[in-house]
Amino acid sequence: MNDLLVVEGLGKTFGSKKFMQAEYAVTALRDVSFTIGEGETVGVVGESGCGKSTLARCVLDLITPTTGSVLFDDTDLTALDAKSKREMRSRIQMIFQDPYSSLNGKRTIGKTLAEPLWVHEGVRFKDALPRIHAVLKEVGMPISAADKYPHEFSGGQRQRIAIARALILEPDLVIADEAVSALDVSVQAQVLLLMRGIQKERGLSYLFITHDLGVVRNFCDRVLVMYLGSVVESGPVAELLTNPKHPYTKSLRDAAPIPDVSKRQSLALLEGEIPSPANPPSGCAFHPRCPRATDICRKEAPKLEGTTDQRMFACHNPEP
Amino acid sequence: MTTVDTTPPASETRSTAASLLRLARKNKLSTFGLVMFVLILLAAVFAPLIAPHDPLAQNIVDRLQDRSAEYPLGTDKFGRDTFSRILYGLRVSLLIGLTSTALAMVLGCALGIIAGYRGGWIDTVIMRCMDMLLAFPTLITGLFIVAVLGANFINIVLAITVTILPKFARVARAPTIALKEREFVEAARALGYSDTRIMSIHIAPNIMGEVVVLASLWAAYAIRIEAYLSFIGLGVAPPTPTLGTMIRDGFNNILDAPYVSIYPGFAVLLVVLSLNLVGDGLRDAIDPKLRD
Repeated sequence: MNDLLVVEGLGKTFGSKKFMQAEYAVTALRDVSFTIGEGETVGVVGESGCGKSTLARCVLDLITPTTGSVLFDDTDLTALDAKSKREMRSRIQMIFQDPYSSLNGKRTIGKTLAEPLWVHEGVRFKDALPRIHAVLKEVGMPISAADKYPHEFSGGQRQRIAIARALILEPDLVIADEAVSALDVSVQAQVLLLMRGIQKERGLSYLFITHDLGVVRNFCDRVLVMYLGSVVESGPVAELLTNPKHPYTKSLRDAAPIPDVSKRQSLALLEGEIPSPANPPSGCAFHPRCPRATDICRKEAPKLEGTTDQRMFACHNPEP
Repeated sequence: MTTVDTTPPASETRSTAASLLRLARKNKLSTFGLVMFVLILLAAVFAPLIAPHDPLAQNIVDRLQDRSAEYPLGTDKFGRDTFSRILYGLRVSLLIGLTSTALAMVLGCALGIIAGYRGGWIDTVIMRCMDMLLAFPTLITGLFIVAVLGANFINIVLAITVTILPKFARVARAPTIALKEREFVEAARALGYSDTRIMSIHIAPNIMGEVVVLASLWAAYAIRIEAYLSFIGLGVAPPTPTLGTMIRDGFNNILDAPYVSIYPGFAVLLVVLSLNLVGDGLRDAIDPKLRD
């Protein structure tokens, strides 16, 4: 499998140095590296504020990363000039979390779908119609949707339209930032099935960002677990969830609800909250909440290591 | 796939005229305002056909008369027919008021959207300039420009434009900052649209509701500023009638012939009122959520 996207040492520090204001620096992303192969789905999980969305936006260059490189199809996106970057945009697309705010309420669905074609390929609205109808059909919407406004649709329908917009340029990589989190469970399943069907047909790759391990289990090939801006563990989904090495991954897995009451075990729930990235703890960022923390965890940050590229974790005292 | 089945049946495309008619039935007060404004506009445009007298013709014998069959709204101190002068005065006042509002709206919104979308030093420079303009009372800014450049049509339009421009910039900037964080703007950037495209196609239409309401209010205000400037003698040069000059002309005889000032004042009131009512209706009409 060829690597479509290679992210190396990606870091982002938000900072401010303003007149009469206290200087501050927040490291939202710290030395993140991973790859996505052609036709592969890579999941990113973690609590709110762990840098998942920053990661997505850095890959897409909506936010300029502070350090590191993003290689897409052997081209370094961070080194491109504005024009080639815009051209590259047609090959990486994004599906956003909130379908209520990701569509422009003043434009009909048809216009929203025609715009990328006009900007990137100079296709006029009339000539774009067959493609608009085709993509609407592909996401399971009636072609009459093209004449309507976003407010005439439900959340699930809107998310389909957002997916249609991401697909119309025929991208190679789609980044889904919590794409199903805002939808209720039955609609979630439909949208996920739709996304998987499209993947099979078009052979595209997904970077799938979520906080829901259940979705990851069913949808992703590999997964990265993030904590406070760093990847703490990565590996193939099945292996990582059955045998988590990092205590954080284990607690995440154990916190996922089990729909069968008789199988529920007493939960070792994680205490405390994710620390402020403006003032991270010393050593391993997870040590204040970690049940396995020892002295070395307080002093020295563990490195992300593993026997193979497939399975890596950053912990001094990994789970057995 | 229940979500697909719940799609409402495709509504037949209605003509613009039909949807306007439906809107008019729903919002009677605004319709009234619109009708009033259109009538005023028509009266101004067709002033030469409607006016019973030459607005400049003096007839000293009939000076300072109250309403009569010959002079529907009386005469001023030179014996000129007030009704005819109001009709011709409306032309000048409306032209100045609407031109300057349109200019201020376009320029102010452009500046406000750029400031809000770009942020940083561009925002600081634009908005501090707007603050500087706002620091002076509106009338003083207008007065200053007209006094320095001289009182003619173009300078008065310029003066009023500069006076109300910062208000548009501020009103455009605030929602731009809010919209910039919305996902559809991020989506537009992710799709590789240029900043100019995002600002003009994705942000501008979304703030038009607020701006149009404001424009109708400030058009009314622009007409009032024109009246102020004329009132203190910095308007369009006499004998061209404007509503402001007419109010001032009557002021000397306010005790014995108040109607000379009152009728043009009433004309200003009607214009301002109709514009405000129209503004309210426009706000509803521009929002697709309220369209059906």
